[in-house]
Amino acid sequence: MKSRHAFYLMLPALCMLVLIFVIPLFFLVAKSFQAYVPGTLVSPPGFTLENYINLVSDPYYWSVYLRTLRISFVSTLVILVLSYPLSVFISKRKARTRGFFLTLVILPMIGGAMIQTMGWFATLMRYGFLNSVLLAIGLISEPITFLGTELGVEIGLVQAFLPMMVYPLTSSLLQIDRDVVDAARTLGAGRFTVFSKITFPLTLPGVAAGSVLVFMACLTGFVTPSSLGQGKIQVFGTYAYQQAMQVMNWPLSSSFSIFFIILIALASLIVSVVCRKCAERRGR
Amino acid sequence: MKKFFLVLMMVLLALSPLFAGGSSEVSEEERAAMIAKADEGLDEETLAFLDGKDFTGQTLVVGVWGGVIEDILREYVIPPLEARGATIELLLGGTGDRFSKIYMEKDNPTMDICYLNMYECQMSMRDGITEEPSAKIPAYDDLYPWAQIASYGVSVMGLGIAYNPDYFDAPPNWNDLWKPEYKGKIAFPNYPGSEGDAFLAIAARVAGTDEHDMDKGFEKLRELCPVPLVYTNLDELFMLMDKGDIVAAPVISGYAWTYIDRGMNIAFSWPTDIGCVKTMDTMTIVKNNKHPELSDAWAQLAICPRTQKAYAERIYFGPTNSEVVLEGEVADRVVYGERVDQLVDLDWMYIIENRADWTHRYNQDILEYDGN
Amino acid sequence: MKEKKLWGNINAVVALLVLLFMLVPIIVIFVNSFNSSQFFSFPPEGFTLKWYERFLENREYKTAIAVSLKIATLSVLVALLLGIPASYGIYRWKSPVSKVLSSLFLSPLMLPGIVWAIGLIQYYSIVNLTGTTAGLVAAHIILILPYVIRLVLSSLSYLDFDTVNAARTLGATSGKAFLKIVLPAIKPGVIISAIFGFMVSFNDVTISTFIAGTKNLTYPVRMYVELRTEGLDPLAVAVSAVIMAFTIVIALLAEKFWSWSKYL
Repeated sequence: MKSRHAFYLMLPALCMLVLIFVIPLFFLVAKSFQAYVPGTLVSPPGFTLENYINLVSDPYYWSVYLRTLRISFVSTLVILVLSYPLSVFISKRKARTRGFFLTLVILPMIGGAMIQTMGWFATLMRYGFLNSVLLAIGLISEPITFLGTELGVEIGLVQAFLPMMVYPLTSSLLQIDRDVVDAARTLGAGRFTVFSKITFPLTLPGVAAGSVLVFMACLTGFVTPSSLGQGKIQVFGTYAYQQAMQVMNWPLSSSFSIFFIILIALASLIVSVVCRKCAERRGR
Repeated sequence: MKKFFLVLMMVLLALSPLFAGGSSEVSEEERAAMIAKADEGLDEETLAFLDGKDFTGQTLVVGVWGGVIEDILREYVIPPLEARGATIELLLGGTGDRFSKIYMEKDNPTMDICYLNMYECQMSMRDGITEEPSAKIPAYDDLYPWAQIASYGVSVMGLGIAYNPDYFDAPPNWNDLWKPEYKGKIAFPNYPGSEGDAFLAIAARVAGTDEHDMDKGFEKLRELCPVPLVYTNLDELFMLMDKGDIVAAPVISGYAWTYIDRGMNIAFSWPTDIGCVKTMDTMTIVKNNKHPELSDAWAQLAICPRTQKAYAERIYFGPTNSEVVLEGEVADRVVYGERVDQLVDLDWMYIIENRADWTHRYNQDILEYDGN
Repeated sequence: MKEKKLWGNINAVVALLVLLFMLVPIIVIFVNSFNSSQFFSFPPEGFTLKWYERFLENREYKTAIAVSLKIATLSVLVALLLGIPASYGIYRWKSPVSKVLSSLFLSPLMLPGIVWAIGLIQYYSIVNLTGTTAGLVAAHIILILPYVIRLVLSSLSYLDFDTVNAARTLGATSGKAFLKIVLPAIKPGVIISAIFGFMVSFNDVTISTFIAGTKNLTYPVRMYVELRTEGLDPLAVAVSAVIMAFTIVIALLAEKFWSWSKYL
C-alpha cells in the first residue's frame, strides 16, 4: 500500500483528534496566560505570567499537589499489595475460570465510577454498612468517620483502580515458565526464595506498567475524591473543578492543571533516568 | 455475529426515545378532566392566564433544587402544565453548577427556567443572561417589592441555627456557637455557596465587624474548627445532628422544620443577637429560551398563591406573594409578616466580588485547619 | 505436597477476600435497593420494590438513561468508523511517521481527562457546542478512539497478511480484500472495543460533568450532581442496581462468547 493511501485512511480520525482534542489544549494553554476578572468569563487581552507566579509562590497549591501525590502513592501501594495474591490466584485457574474471575475484577471499571462511588458512600457513611457491621461484631464502640477523610478517598480509589493492576500482573504471571519454578523447587529453593528470586523479578514489567497506570489514574481522579471527600479533601481534580465550574476562574484552573502535568512529567523523567542508571550499575 | 451486533446497536438507538416515555394520545374530554383536576384551587388570575393554552410537544427544562422543593413543584406547578400537554424536565442540584451552565450556554440556552439565589439573579440579569422580571406575568404585581428585584422571588427564608436540643439549654444565639464545648461539633455549609457566604458574614459580625472586614471573619470561623462536616445535603446533616455527632449548624429556616416533623431530635432557633440572614430563592426566565409562552406559564404558577401557600404550609418557606395569608403555627414557623423586616441584609455585591479570594482562603484556612 | 496445598488455600482465601472488597459497593447497592427505609439503614428495615416502581415513574432518570444510551451508541459507531481504517493505515504503513501518529492517537489515554475537560469547556463555549449532542458525542469519540485503535491493532497483529496478498493476486480489489479477509480477522477486536467503548462512554462522569448541558444530561452526571447535593437517594440506588445488573450480564456474555478478558 502506498503511504499516501494509508494516510488517507487515518485522515478522518486525525481530523477528529485535532478538532476535539488538540485544539482545546491550545485554548487551555492560552487561557493559562490570561488574567482573571471576577464575575465574568471574559479575560482582558494581554499576556500575563501572574497565574504561574501565583502557583509557584503560594504554598497552598503545593499542599494540594502534595496531598494528591500522597493519596495516590498510598493507594497505589495498597493496590499493589492487594492485587498480588489475587493475580496469583487467578493465574493458577484454568482458562475458563480465569476468564470468569477476570470479568468479576473488571466490573468496578466498566460498572461506572458513579455507581461505585454511590456504593462506597452507602458503605462508608457514619451510619452506613461498614460501621454497622463493625459495631455489630463489637470491633469498634464508636462509628469511624470515613467520609471526608483521606482514608475514605483512598478506599474508593483502591477499589476503582485495582483492575488496572490485576490485568497486567496476571498476564506477566501467566508468562512465567512453570518449569523454571519447578526446577528451582526441585533444587531445594524455599517458597520465599522462589518468590523473591524468580517470580517477583519476572513480574516486574507487569508491576511497573500497572503501577504507572494506577498512579496516574489516582493523581487525576475526580469523582471519587469529590464524592467521598465531601468537599473537605482538596486534591488536584477537585480543586481544578472548583475553580473551573464553581468560581469560574478559568485562567487559574488552566494554569493549575498545566503546572501539575509539567510537574508529573518532570518527576517521571527523573524517576526513569534514575532507574536506568541503577539498572546500568547493576548490569555491570 | 457482526450482524447481531449491528442489530443490537440499532435496537439500543431505537429504544432510547421509547425509554424517555412518549405521551399517549388522550381524548378531548380526558384532557379537560385532567386540566380541571390539576387546576383545582388556583386563583382567578392564574386560571385566566392559563386559559386555552396548549403546550403539546413542548419540553420545558427547569433547573431547581431537589428534595422538598422538588416535591412541591411536582405537586403544584407541574400538573397544570402537563395537563396542557407540556413535558417538564427538572434538573436538580445546587445553584452554583446551574449558574455556570447558563453562562456557558449564553447564546444557545438549553435551560428555560433557572432558580437562583438572590444575588446570582442580579448578576445574570446585569449580564443579559436572564430576563428582567415584568408584569407580563400577572402575579408579578402581587409580589412584595423586595421580591421583584432582578427576578421573581419565590420564597424568603432566614439563615438561622438548627441544633440538637440535648446539647443546649435554650435556643442558641450565634454567639453561643463559639462556646468552647461546641468546638469541632458545628457543621459548616459548603463554600462557595450562599449559606457559606452568610455564615462567613455572621462570623465577621460575631467578631464585631461585618463582611467588609473578612480577615476577622475567617479568624473567628477558625475558632470553630476542625470542621466535622461540610454539608452539601440535608439528609446527612440532620441524621448526624439527630445522633449528636454534630450539635448545631447554620441552616436555612424552612429546611429544619421538615426534618423536625419527621420526628428527628432537632430544633430550630431564630438567633436574636445578630439576627437571621435574609436569603431568598428566586426564579428567572432564561433569555432567548425556546418556549417563552410555557416559561411564562411556569413563572405564573410558581408565584401564584396556591403554590406559595403550599411552600409555606408544607415546607415552611416564606411567601413572596402578598396575597397569601398565613395563620397559626405555620405563620410562626415561616418568615412572614414583620419577621421579614427583622432579617439581616448582607452586601452581596461586595461578597461576590471577593468570592474567588474567599474561596481560596476558605480552602486554606478552614479546610486545611490543622489545629494551629 | 501438604504444604503446597496449605499455601494454595491461604492464597485462595486472601484472593477471594480482595475480590469481595472489590464487589462491596456493588453488593451494598443491590441489597439497599430493596430497603424500605427512606434513609440508608443497615440491616435493611424491610423489603420493598417501591424504589423500582418510582424509577419507572421518574421521567428524569429515564430521560437521562435514554440520553446516555444514545450518546454511547453514536459515539461507538463513529469511533469504529474512524478507528478501524486508522488502525489499518497504521498497520500497513510501516514508517516512523505512522509510529508518531499512532502514539498521537493513543495520547488521550495518557493525558488526564480533567485537564482536557478544562480546555474543552473553554473551546466549546466559543464554538457553541456546550450541552449539545454533537459536542458530547465528539468528546466521547475521543475517549473511545484510543481503545478502538489499540484493540484493533492488537487483532491485526494476528493477521497473516499473505492471505490478503493472495486474494489481491487472484483479482480481488483492495476494498473487497479488506471486507472479506481483514474485517473477519479483526472481528474480536472490533466487538470488544465496541463493548468496552460503550461502557466507557455510558459511564463517563468526568468529561461529561464539564460539558453536558441540561438537555443532554447523561445519567452518571445527574447521579453525581444529586449525590453531592441531595445525598443518597434510594431512587438513584435502584437505578444503579438496574444498570449494574445489565452491566454484569453483558460482561459475562462478552466473556462467554468472545473471552474478552484476554484483550483488555
